[in-house]
Amino acid sequence: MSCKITGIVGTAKNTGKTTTLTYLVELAAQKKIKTAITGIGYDGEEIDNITSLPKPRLKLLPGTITATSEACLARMNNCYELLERTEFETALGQIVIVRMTKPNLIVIAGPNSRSALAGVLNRIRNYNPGWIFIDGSLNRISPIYLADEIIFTTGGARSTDINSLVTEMKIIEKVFSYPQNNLEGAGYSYADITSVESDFIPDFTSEKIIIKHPVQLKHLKKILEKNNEVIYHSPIYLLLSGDLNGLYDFLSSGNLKLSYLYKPELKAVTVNPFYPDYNGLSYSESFINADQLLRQMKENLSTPVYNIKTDHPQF
Amino acid sequence: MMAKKILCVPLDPVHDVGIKIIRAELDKNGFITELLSPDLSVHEIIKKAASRQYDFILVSRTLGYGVAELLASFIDQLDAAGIREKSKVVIGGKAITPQLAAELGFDKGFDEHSTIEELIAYLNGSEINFKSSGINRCKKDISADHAYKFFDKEVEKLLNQIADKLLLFVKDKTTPGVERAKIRREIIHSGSTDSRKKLVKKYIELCDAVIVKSYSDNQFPLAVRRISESEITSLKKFLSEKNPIHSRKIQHNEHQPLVFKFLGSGCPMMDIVHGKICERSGINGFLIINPSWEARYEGLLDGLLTHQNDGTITSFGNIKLIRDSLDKSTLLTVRAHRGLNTPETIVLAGEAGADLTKINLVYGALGAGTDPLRLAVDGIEAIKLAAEYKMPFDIPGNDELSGVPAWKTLAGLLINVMIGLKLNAKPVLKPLFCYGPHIVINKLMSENYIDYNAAKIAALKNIVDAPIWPGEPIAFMTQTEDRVQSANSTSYHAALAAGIGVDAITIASTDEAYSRGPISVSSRLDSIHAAADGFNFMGNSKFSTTSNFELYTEMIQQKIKDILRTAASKDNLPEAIYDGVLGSKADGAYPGKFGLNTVAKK
Repeated sequence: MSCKITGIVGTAKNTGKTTTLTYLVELAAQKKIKTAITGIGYDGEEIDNITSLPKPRLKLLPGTITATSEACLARMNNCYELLERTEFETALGQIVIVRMTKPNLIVIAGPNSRSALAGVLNRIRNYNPGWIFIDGSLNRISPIYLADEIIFTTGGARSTDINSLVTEMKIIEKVFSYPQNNLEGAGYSYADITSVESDFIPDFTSEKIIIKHPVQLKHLKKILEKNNEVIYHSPIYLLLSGDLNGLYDFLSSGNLKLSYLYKPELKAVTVNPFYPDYNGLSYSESFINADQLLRQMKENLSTPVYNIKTDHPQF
Repeated sequence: MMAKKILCVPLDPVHDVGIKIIRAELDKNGFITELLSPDLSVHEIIKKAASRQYDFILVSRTLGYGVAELLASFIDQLDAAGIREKSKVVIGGKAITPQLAAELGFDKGFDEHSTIEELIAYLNGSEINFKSSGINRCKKDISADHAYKFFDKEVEKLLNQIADKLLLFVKDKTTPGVERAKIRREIIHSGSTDSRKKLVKKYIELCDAVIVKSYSDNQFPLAVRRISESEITSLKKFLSEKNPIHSRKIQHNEHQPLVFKFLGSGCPMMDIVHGKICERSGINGFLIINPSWEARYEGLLDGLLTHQNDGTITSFGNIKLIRDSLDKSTLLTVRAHRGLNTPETIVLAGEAGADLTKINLVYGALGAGTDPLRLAVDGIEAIKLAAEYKMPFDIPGNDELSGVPAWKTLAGLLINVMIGLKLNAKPVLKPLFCYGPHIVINKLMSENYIDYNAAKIAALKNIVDAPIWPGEPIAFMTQTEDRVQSANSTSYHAALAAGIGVDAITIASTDEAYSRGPISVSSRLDSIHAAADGFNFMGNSKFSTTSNFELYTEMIQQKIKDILRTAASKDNLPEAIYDGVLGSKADGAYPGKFGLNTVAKK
């Protein structure tokens, strides 16, 4: 049976990941698809760990396979069945895999690194889910390249300036526009460099350079100038370069021969007008213009854009 | 075993003090450490982290606006660079919680209250396992370190005379309060509904009409109602979810006094919630304070009850609910000595599992209190019961607040001590640290607040080796509506108590006198933190006193003897109280009238 993995990635905290995830869980239930869920980090808490504002809670339905830290299950008596313990640890203890037996609100504290996420996903697959969700954490994205498709969430919590939100999503869309490379044929060589060591860029003899670690944008430019084709780790790692504006200019500068080893599909963008307004002492709930946010985002992106609270996409 | 390599990263533009201290401790414990400068970019830090095989990367950062995103991004880049496969990444700093560490993707988080031992245990892979609930401490016995030996033999002799006369005087006497206590004990232990009904019928024959109505017609005094089942369910849910862990410690060293607070909002559930929060901050015990009107009626209400005004109803259900909800290590005191239900309150406290009680035959009979004769009979019975339930009883000296000079109050405390010892009980002296009327008028603390307070304690210590617990609360009448000032005052007095060497103190919340309703949680915490800070500041040192301290100590000790001589010359203690020996009308103390003419021959 095929199993789709969907990652939900927030451009910032409070951009609507949990709301989007809850929608997806309910959608899967309607479609009678068996689901599994894990996350990178910690999500689903009642009160935000930073702003102290109430957060939407993640409610899971019976049958859902869940990988979370043991400490998160302490309060969930009689609503899950323990399937297995894993060797992966988080700041909240060992990750365990359970099956929900009753509907319940849950806190997900999943694996915190790409290798641990890969391991946990392998374990989850043994229970034959049809759809796996990876709940992103804060704006952490590096492990999410393991997903088949990604839904980005953005909104007022990222920036109250709608134009800058649109620009950012345009850059992300551009980064995702390059194809997957399955390394067919010959002539590939691995570049043994990382962002941390690549102050010096060697002359590569091969025309097809595979880069498995994130490198600084300036170095990537040099390699592409010197060589012909770069097969980069993933669009996610390209986004880690940090300098998004520079990235957009670079990607728009010419006909780059760029492809990816791991290429999740950019499935959709969801927008959330909410933002926590900080008055110097505490945070309060505020909103940017929801209609304008949705309209401008749709006008500028070819990727589908939704306000998950008002739209009902079928994904 | 190879020494573990640790990279210490102050991910902060300026502050690297915390990680420097940690690094020094790790070096001492055999770790190989490297400390980066605080001005490196994330890229430079990652370059360094990738350059060598570190077992752990320790990141120090105070959480502030936008910092979470920075930390998450830092983790992202470490992960993408493959560093997380070889190094564990740990964060420490203010406001860091295990949840936040998980959210940001760190392997472990330590907050400002974590100890270096916890960090080292984690780095060595032998993580300290805390209990998943409970506050990990032992219950203390306040009386344990005292032999009750009298150093002042003259005082001992006088007290023996007074106590012996009183015990003889009350021997053939009883009161409705004494009789109700017996019935109440039978009610609690009654097996069948029928026998309970019979006992309750017998009980209410000895009660005032307002109490009788609650039993016969389910009609309670104004602003009192039963607690509903759903309220209890919610409370239990709260307690199962919010059991405090990793309690802080108020004391800086093991010799410093235990710290108590009042509970008595009227609502036992609010008391419990406040209690749990205070436990988390390290409070050692509580005193349940009851409504003042309870003292005036013959008989006590029964059941789980909430009261919309000051004071929590002293019912068996309420005391047991509070006792069962607090941590086992938390000490619970129930006030018994005021009013017409003193012996019965001891029965309720003892049966519900309270640890201590509060009885003062003198103070309870002064200042709008109980008739001295009635309280003498009730109080003796109460002390006997306290001994039976193995509850030490504290003797508050709050008559000083009516204007009674300290030596009269302290003489009263000592009389209670001797009676307690004769009845095999464990008495606890509770002199005030206050700015009372007699002190103000006579300018006894005009030069400083140390000499006179310290002299009271020294005088008592010169007389007898008994536990001393300044209350009630410390800093009484030195606090204002300004919470900062109130917290400071609590802190100074707590430090003084620690420097003098006493067994416990009671502290007021910073809005105790000004809350205009229930005390707020934040002001409770203010005072706890203030006391902790005072203890920390004082450590194992002492305040220095002036020459007045010796003068005051000698004066107080001498005057205590004078008072006891006069008291011993009276036929019995009630007569001494009626005659104003232990606090006169001129002082502002009036013998109480509740329960007048209710003492009967057995």
